[in-house]
Amino acid sequence: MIEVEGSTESIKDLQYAAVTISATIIIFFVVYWIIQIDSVRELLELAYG
Amino acid sequence: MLSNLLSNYRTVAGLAFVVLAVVLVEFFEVRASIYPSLLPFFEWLKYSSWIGYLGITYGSVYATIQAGHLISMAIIGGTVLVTDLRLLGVLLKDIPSETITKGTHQCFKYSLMVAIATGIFCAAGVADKVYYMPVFWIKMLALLTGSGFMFFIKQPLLNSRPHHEIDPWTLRILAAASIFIWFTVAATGRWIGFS
Repeated sequence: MIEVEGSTESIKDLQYAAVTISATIIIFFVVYWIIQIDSVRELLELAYG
Repeated sequence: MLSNLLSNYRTVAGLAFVVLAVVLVEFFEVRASIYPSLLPFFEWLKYSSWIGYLGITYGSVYATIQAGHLISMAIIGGTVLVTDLRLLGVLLKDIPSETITKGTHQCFKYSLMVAIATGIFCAAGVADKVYYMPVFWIKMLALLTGSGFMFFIKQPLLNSRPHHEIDPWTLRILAAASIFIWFTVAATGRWIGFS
């Protein structure tokens, strides 16, 4: 079993940090992959019209 | 007031500091100025180091170690998927998520160590090629982000208390971010192989 550690503030701190960094990571990588997919689409359009 | 906030929200403050540091590094073009000075190291890695020599000279050694790299990456992918899909409530719902996260983390740690060690060997054999590939640097960034996220954010939160006491949306967004990072590590890894 997991023992409960730390105060309410420390859990809030971890939760805020987790939500902030997770949202940043998701937005960054979604934008990154959209750009990559779009560049492949443009290359295919140039190659095959 | 500020010191009280900083002491209560140390992790958030640390994250804000890291983000600020990244913004400053980009703003003052520190990364761009460091990049050319890394080329001699990559050339040394391929042509002068013993791992580079082994990788270039013996194809069988390179292939065997690359197989170890792929297997360790597959184990990382497996542990991440099992943990995160359990946190999302998709898989293994009859097993407590605490049991799964603790069990898979040990496996993840050892696989990550093997993946990094074998990855250095694999990169050494083609160091002068990967240096010029933007996708190689994206993979390194994703690997660094994924490891930092796992050891400083995800595991401390998941080990802090029973998961039913953590906000379920926090767990879901945590799992989705983790899948995104390790998907990017895997995809960019294969991209390097096909470039």
